[in-house]
Amino acid sequence: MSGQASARLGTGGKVAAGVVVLIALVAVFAPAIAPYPFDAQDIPNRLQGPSSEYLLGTDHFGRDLLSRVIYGTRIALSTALPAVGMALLLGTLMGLAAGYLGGMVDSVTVLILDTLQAFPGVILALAILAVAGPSSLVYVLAVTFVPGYARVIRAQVLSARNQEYVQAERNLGAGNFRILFRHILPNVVAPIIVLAAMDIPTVITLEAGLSFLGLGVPPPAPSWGVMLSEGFQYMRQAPSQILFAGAALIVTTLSITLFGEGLQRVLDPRSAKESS
Amino acid sequence: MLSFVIQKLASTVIVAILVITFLSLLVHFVPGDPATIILGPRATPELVARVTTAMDLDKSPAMQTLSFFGRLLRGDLGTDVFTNRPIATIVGQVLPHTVILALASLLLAALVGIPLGVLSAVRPGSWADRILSLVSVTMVTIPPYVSGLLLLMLFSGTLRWLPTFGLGNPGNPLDYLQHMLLPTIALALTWIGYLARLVRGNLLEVLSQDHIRAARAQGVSQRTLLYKYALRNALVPTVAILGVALGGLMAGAVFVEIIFSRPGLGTLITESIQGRNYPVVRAATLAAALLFVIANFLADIANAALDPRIQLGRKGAA
Repeated sequence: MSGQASARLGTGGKVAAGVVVLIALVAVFAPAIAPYPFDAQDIPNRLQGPSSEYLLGTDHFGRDLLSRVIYGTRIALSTALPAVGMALLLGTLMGLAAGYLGGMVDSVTVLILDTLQAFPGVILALAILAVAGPSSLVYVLAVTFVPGYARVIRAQVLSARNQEYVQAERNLGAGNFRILFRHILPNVVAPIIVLAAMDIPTVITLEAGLSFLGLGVPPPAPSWGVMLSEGFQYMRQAPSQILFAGAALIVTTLSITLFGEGLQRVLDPRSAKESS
Repeated sequence: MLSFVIQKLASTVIVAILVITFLSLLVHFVPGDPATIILGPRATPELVARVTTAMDLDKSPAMQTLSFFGRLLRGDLGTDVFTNRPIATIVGQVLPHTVILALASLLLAALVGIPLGVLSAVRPGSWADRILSLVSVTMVTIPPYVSGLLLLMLFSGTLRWLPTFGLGNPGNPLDYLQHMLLPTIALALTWIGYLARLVRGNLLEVLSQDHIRAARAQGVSQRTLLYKYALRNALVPTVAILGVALGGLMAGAVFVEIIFSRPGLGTLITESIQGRNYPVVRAATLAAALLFVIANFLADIANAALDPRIQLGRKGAA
């Protein structure tokens, strides 16, 4: 990393980046790190507080909370990353087509995006999950986040389309495909990466929220949302489950958000200045 | 201004029509026969036939959508198969609780978030600013269901100052407000953080503009500059996101209502999904979307009234 980029990332961004790497490692090596399998039950020791045997205590089935929190990292990332990836891919294609082709394609695309964004946040996901069922969770999350990418790409393409360098390229005989992928797309990569980094924590929060409602990742998988929901049921006997699952969720989303903001200062300093 | 309003109204109506069409077609994504799934495996063929007719499932998708629009215009959202009550009544009964909760949270977020943003912008880069920035980004990342659960734990266990369950006595406004306090705080937290960040950013941008620097050069005090000249301009873009904020708060209300056992759209949608009651899910999500669309329309109009440049389609032009 160049000195300038490092300076722009800032201390906060660097600390956040370190935590993000750590979280990713926890997710990848969950089976090696976790002291117990996430679904190993020990009924006689249910709803226990922290002890030397179970460092964070146990839940209502006597399952080790530490192991469940660790495996929860894996669930959060393995849901959010494909969902954001899919949204990015689909949104980019829609934005490129709408911005570059214009006319009917553009009008129809904008109408689709307007319709999707007419639903407040989680409500769209709920409406689709209601009919499609929890197995479609990743796709539902992806659809919810498509409009952001499509809009950013479309706006960038619209402004790039009439730039002199693109005009010149066209006069030299470049085809649509070459102009789009060789000249326009590289210019929109930075804002899209930043948007993806900012979306990952939002998707993690949404997944946990839907799982909390019982409509996302089904138990016994230890999604942090599932853990919050089970902790809610046994709140009086064992409040620790809510605290640990909530803390894992907040630390993860906060560090990815701060990392994303650092990334924005490095990759896209102009818009970072505008939005901060 | 009038042509701007008409133009916005037209696009709002188009979006509303698309939302209704989308929701009327959504039931086709149900794997299997919706009527059978709603009623469960032990339903009699007669009952299945009746629900199929009531939901227009025997008609083509295009006819279903037309029939849905036709009924909607008459305020008819169908009849609930389980309770035999009009769905419009079921939704209408819970809707006010969600709207009041969202509006109260918006008010709280504005009352706390805007002063926090101003406080950070007074001395950008100072320790106070850095701490406030970290606090506000943390508030943004704490989802309403976590803040709701933490408040519930704190007040149902350790502190017992506030009621944590239900709506309260419907005849007693004070009791209603008391029951609303914790859900409102849980819901507002995210938007306190958002507004603080937004106001800080806008204010710093306005403060760096030429007319402010000119006024400062003429000896206008920092106080007058900040509160009389800059804050007004900095708050205009904040108005634009109030519509979005209201949508976000209605979405967050889903979780808060479940945690504090409040009747509302969120509770209704979640329970209806679990009961596979598609017509009620559809009606309740439709109500949420239409409210959101209207809120955005009003916010756009208010924003354009405050900032005439927007009417000319030069949003953000300096």
